[in-house]
Amino acid sequence: MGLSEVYAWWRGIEALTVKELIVLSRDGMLVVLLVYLFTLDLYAAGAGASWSFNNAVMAVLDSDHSAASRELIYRFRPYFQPETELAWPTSGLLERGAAVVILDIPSHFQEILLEGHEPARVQMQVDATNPQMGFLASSYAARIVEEFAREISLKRLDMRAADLERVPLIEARPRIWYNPTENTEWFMSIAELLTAITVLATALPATLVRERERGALEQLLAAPISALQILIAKGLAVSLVLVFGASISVLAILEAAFAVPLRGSLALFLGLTGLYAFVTAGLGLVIAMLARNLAQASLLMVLVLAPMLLLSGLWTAPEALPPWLGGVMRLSPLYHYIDIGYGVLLKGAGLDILWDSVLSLAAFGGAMFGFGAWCFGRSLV
Amino acid sequence: MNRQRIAALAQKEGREILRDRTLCLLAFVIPAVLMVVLGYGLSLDITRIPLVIVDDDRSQMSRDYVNRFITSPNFDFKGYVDRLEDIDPLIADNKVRIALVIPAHFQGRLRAGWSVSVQALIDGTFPSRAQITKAYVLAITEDISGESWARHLAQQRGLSFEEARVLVQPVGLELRYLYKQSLKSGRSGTPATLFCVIVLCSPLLVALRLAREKEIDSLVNIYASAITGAEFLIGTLLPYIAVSALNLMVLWFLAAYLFQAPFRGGFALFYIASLIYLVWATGIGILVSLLVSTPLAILLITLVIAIVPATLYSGIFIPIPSLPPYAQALAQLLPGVHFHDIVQASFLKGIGLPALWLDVVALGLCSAAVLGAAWLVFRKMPKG
Repeated sequence: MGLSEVYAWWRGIEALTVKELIVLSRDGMLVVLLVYLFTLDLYAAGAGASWSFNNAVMAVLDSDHSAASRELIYRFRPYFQPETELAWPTSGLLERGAAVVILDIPSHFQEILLEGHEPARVQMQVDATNPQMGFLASSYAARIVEEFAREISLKRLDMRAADLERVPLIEARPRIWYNPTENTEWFMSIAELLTAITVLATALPATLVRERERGALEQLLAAPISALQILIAKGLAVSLVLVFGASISVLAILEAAFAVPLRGSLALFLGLTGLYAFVTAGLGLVIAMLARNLAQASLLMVLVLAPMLLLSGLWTAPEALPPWLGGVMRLSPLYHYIDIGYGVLLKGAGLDILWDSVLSLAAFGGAMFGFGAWCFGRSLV
Repeated sequence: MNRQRIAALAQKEGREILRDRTLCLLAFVIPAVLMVVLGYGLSLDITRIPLVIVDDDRSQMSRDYVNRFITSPNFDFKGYVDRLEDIDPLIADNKVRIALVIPAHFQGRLRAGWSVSVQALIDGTFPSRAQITKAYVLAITEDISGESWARHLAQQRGLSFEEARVLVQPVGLELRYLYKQSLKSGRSGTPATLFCVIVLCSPLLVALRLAREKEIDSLVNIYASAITGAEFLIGTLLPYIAVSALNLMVLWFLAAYLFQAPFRGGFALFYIASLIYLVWATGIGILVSLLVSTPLAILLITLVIAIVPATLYSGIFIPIPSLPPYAQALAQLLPGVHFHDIVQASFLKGIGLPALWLDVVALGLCSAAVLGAAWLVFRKMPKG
């Protein structure tokens, strides 16, 4: 193939890509949806979420009514809201979701504490409907009780806090990297962006189904254009639209509204987003190729998108999956794009670190477009 | 309202579903398939967190300390790392989510009766995972630390270990977790999975059907007929509700028997509340397909409407009390949170109508609002 042929081949793709872009831009509702997803939706997701733990409602059942029990309850204040004082044991509050934890201080708490022959027990009931929330609540409670206990120990041992340096204690100093304030806005807004790009890249190529139904594809093939060119042009058009959308999202929402640090290179992020969108559009094209009509295409999409979005690592930690499913999810392009997205935007990762994810995406894309072109020939006959 | 016309429309609509192989699959097979796949995968547990360790001390005591992490099911030990600088790329690549750094003289200081601090470098990209990882580290460390102090104290003052232990830890906290999702751990997300599948599949089925109708312009037939808005809505809703009602049984069966999720509540309440939610979901599908013209846009918008409020504002991933006030208010207006409450309560808490009636009423209102909107849109449609 000479240079001029390559040029002609490319010109064919170019013309088709422009045609695709025009088709997409003519669907008014679709344009509105795109704008919404890349701006407002992202903002709502980032601003509307936090896992901050200062609102958990606590109820207290204090059967001791002593100075010690009141002191312990008081210490829960900054992290929990001790709203109700209960008169008798009841779990009705937890059932109704009116409280997340119930602190139960038995009678003789102070007495046992002062005698010091055995540990003075307090009990806490935790609503574990949401296991993460339940665990965090109990871990905060454990810290508070420990601190309270430590002061009593110090008093009893006649030590000051500074003397703890002279005690063989191990202290863990957690340092949270890349997001020291542990805000959720960064995670949520980026998660929503990755989700939107995934859904759109998979669904937009479905225009192909309609074109085939109406015989527009046959007309295209009568022109000196190959199946692969048509597919690449479709992928490119989708990729261009999504990269444009993503750049607006990053600048107008992520950076301007949420001050996401953008530690890596924006160009790298957009470039890899383009690759991801192209590759995932390949998946959409294969779906469009296998389906006979839009309904079938949507069905396949749901079948692919639902596990991809929920299990690739945004909501479920990959290591929490059973091993066989974890292996399957490595095939999901989103699995690799999550590493890329958070890696570049939050962690400042470059190609030296992300190369394996990029290679996986490229391999996936090669497989999709190869298979797509093969299907293309068969689907028209 | 003419009962005969409604019945005719419902019958026609039902036949359309049964005759179209694709719709049949989406109606009866896909929800079950998703339930199985997601049921194995969807989990809110944080376990097997990938961990590396930098041990600059390499002593007996540092190995004992580190062993508590290596043997914990919450961590997945990926190996030792020699230098601090090697940690950064591992975390940046999402290969490892926590690195524990044990300083030199760890054993020396403890033996000499001095305190020592250990660094835990935690990836903060996923805030909920970071918080829980931090809590795991603190809990393990506090445990060992208390033992170490008690042993030291026993030696120093000639006490028994137990006596020293009470001195060091005078208060004991007993935790009782209520409504745990499963005792056998591993699969904690079954009710959440059921919620996701219903939320995703039910609006899509009707939207796809009507998108097809739009494409071949056969809705015009309805407009041209004597069928009124209310009759159209009811006639269209009925077969989809019937399909979903059947599906609900299958999904519930999978949840209760395949995944052995506990079901502690009343089945009737759960079932009826779910049907009310399905009216909303189906209504949304109808509303979107009436408002939007191209099939692709119908599909995408229905997907977005089905996914976004369900993931952000239902409490499935982010607990509602953690949302800012305006988002909490918004969440209360959407049906997702009420349906989620009912699903969780029926499976895990086993409470009945007295505690849940508000959720049921809210669901009813949401459904009525969507149907009202669809009715208005249908009436305003350009006929012809």
